[in-house]
Amino acid sequence: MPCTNPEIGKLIFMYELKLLSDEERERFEDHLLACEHCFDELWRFSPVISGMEEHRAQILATLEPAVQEDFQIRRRPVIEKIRDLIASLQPFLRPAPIGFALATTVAIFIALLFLFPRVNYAPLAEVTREPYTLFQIMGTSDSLDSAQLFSQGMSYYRNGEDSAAVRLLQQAHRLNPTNAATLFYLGVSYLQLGQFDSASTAFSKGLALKDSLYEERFLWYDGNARLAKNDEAGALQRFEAVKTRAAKYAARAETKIRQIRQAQKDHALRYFFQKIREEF
Amino acid sequence: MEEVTIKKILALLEQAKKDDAKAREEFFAHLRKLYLSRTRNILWSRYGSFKHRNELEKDAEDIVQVFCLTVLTKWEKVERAENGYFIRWANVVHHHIIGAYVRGNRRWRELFDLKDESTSDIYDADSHEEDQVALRDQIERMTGAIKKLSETCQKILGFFLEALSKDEIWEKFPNEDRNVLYKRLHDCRVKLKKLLEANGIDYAMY
Repeated sequence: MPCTNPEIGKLIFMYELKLLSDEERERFEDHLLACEHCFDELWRFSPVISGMEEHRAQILATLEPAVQEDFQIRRRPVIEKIRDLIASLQPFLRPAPIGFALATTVAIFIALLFLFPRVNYAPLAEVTREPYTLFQIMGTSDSLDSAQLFSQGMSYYRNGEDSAAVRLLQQAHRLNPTNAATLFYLGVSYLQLGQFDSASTAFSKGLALKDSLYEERFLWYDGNARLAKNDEAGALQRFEAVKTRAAKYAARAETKIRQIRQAQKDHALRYFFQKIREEF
Repeated sequence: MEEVTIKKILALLEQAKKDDAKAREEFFAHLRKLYLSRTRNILWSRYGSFKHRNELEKDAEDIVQVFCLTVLTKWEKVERAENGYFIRWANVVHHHIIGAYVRGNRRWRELFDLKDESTSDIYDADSHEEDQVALRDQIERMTGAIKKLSETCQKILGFFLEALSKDEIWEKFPNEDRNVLYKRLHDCRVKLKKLLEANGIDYAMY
């Protein structure tokens, strides 16, 4: 049977992609209730659209390079943008006399030594956002509720709306406490919000699940969460564990361990200077 | 006869949630009218033999009943996240419930020795590896089809998959006439459907 109103009927793909205004959406849904053809078309195609949403990571990865550029620009982390900004300032910085730069650095270093008696490890922490790869993590045993909450939480996560992501991922976790992916992205969202204790709790719970796919990531991110809250002993322990696994984050963990050790040495030096200052 | 509108259906849902038995009955009747024949068609196309007609009819009724209850209890929770797209969401739920039935039903069929070729489909719940291979194959076919679409359509699909809001997506095409874009997207869907069919995609992926 043909569509009863092709003018409205042609909005079907916009409806499927949620691109209609509220008014258009309502008009189209009214049309669906009256038009058997469009309802059937929508219903039959529904698994295709939800299949695309479910496996978005793979699909996005295979789009044409020209199309992907738009996404990469959007995804680029803030830290990279700052790095680019600094790089663009390099030509202006180069002509400055080296001696002056050196003297300034030393002056700042000494000032820092005397101003801050306690070492601060937080700047060493990496709290970058882990890319979301849906294909790896959707568990087939998830209930409809927790899977939906997870999927909606991840939509917010990808948009950088971490508070909303935390809210939904917490609910998903309550419904399915054994899903490592939920705990992992919940922890990363907490990290983005600067709630390092909560992040660390989520990662520790995740570690207890012993999910081989996530174990290293839990360790790495928990190490950074601990570092951010100045728990260098805990952080070192996590990074050592990552290093021994010799997998994806091993090299970065090794660098991190080196940085912490260096910061500890600097701290000792600073302590020495402080004592001298107290004595004289 | 009064024309059914989405507002009316959602108002009935609201009333039904407040234990209004009449509203609940009417709400279920509307959903039943929309989904029972479709449920029945899927079951019959998968398991149908005239001999078991009564059992399949009963199963179809059960599925629709579970579906109605799910919609009634869950819509409020997901309405905001779904941006109010009720029928779109209801269709996903419906397919999800049929999928659960199909997977669970395999054991039921073995118990009663009602095997036929139509059940030896790709989603065998007991074979995780086979599931994964079939799934990868489906995704490859799907991405193969999407790659053949125009750049604009690929971009819009990509933005949708990136979960950009509709305003953000439209902002990406500031110089495009909205009506022209609508038309192009509609043509894109027709093309995508043809390509998926040509690539042997099984729409009912459960």
